[in-house]
Amino acid sequence: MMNTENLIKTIKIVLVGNPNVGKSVIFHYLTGVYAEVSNYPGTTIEVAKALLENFAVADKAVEIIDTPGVYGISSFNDEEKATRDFVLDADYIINVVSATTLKRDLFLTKQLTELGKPTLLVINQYDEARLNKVEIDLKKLEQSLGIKVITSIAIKTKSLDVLKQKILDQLNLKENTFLVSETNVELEEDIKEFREKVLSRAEALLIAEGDLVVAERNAIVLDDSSSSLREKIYTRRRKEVNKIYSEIITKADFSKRAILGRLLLNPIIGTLVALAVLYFFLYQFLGVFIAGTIVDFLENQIFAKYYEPVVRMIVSSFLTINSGSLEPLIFTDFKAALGTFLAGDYGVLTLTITYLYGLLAPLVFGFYFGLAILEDCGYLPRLAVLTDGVLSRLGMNGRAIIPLILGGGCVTMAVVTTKLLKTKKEKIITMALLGLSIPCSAQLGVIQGLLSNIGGPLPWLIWSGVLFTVFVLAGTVMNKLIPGECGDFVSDIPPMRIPVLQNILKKTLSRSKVFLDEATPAFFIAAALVAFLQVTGILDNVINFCKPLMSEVLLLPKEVTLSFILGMVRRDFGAFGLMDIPMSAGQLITSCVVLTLFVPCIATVAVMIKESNWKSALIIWLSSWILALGCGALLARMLIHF
Amino acid sequence: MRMNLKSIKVGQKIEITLIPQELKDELLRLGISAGEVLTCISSIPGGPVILQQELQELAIGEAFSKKIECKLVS
Ligand SMILES: Nc1nc2c(ncn2[C@@H]2O[C@H](COP(=O)(O)OP(=O)(O)O)[C@@H](O)[C@H]2O)c(=O)[nH]1
Repeated sequence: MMNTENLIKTIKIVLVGNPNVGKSVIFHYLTGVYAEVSNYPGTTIEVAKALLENFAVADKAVEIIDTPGVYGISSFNDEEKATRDFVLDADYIINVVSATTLKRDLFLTKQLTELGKPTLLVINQYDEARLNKVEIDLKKLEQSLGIKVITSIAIKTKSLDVLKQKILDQLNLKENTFLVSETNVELEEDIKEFREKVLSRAEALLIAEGDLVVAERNAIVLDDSSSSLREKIYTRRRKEVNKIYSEIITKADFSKRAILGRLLLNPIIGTLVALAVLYFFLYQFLGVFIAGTIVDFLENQIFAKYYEPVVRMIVSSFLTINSGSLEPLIFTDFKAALGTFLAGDYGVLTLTITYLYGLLAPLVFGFYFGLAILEDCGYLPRLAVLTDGVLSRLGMNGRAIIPLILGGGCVTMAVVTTKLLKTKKEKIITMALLGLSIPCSAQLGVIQGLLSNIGGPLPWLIWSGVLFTVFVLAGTVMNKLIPGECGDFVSDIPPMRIPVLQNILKKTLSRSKVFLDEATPAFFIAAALVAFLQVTGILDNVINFCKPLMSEVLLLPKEVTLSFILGMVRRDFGAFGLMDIPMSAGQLITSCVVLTLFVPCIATVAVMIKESNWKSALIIWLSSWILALGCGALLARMLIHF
Repeated sequence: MRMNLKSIKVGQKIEITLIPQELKDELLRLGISAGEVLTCISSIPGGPVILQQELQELAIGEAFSKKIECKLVS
């Protein structure tokens, strides 16, 4: 580890590029294993930072930053805002582009050169371009852009050595490999007004392009003419890029077609594949393999046999544990109260740890692993395209598929990503549907565990059928009731690629870690609360109070109340103890449905209030009570002989 | 003949003739402006149109595609 105290300054090298061009593969190559991944303040947008491996120049640390993929620098959305700030703060910029989509990518490149930062251009995915016999005149491109250009095939690390050498040459002041391009007269004329008011040239350009955030920072008020100035600059830039592009491509044969990627966009084949993917990912992989085999092994073999007995033994050597008994202990026998609190049935050290690491961690890991594969192979944009038509009839559009799928990991995080949606209407509807009908991964795992205990695919079909119906009906109704536009989408579709395992694992690990870091304290607090309610006897009273509701309305045993109460605290707790309550098949299915539809957890509600307002959040919260109890009551009666 | 993007069929090649103001900036960055020639590679009923140019593929939602005008090239 480098001693950062006596370093004069950290040099910041920022990787910038369109989505899916290979930035993160290059980032991992440059930085090795240890990257600090954090969410850009107030968003779920991931920004990875790390020190350049084994390298320091004249008492300076070199930090590499991987930014979210964007098509241009401005403030259209959160990704762009994050990337923009890193670019403005950068010492050097590595612009990564894909050799397969140069015409699109060079727009960002041109903008970066105009910002006036020292930049190096890396044309990546060169192998894919070669496959299509694309030949690029690199010399000509260097001349046109006024910066240096290198090529790479990031998945073959050897090809990245050139990049590393260029970085070292620059930092050791051997050769200027990161160049500031010469500016163009017309552009200077356009930004002149702001150059006089703003210190930084880069900021002046962004303000001229109508970036309200940067304008505000510099206390500049933009008027209506700003959008026409942006259009002028954009149009000229696009023209220049198209001209450069036509000059540098000397040969190409685009007749080769990627068959798989095409088939997935066919309405019929694509839908069948989407159903198959959902079935394998959600049911076979998460439900049967992770929630069944893996969790079963961890819970019953490792934690139940080795971990919990040891904890109980240690705790009971100086305290007493009243297992099972829910009598009020705290006033009569303090030792027993504390012992039960720590290591009883719902003990903080026993059940919580088992649940957290035996159940939640593998599920969350499994979910993010699957998601990373779908993401890296280029499947998600295709899914968005396929579902756009249906979602737009429910008041959303294809973009919403990302939060909806993320909801399967953690609904709270998914609600945060509704930021990426453009109109208010699609945001509210996506949020509501997430809160109502999307189970998060821990819930999903336990529910599938319960359902597979009954056996056969039928319980699973009933459960998902009810959720699907609620999803569609609620969406349709909200689409009718909520005024406003649901927006539309434009999406670039990257080619299908074979994902790199290392990349997948890194993504999975860092996301799981962010999730668990956030979930762990909440878990302990909730567990402590329940244990407290248990030893004081309050829990018993609440359970008895809710008994009529459970037995008369939902036809369920009263103990299920506990799961539902916990579900309010954190959705994934809802499964606490549900496994151990003896129930008929029909009752099991009913409680799974009610649990999924039941109110979103406190954290989710808090985020909903932040992302919309307390009124919408309250309406969503109340409707989930009505929906859950209504559907549950109905289902319980339909399944009474099941 | 003037037509909109949603009405083209798979396999047809079109030239973009008009992009509404609200979409101009976003599409410009993606490389699409009036005068560009693209091929339709798929069209989801009630959903987006998927267009291709060289190795780049792009989906445009139904509502937007109805607002973009084009003409057949072949
Ligand atoms: N064939 C090929 N695939 C690459 C290359 N570089 C990256 N990829 C793949 O392209 C996809 C996107 O890469 P990633 O680094 O996640 O892109 P990012 O979105 O820019 O960070 C991944 O599936 C990579 O494995 C390359 O040079 N050649």
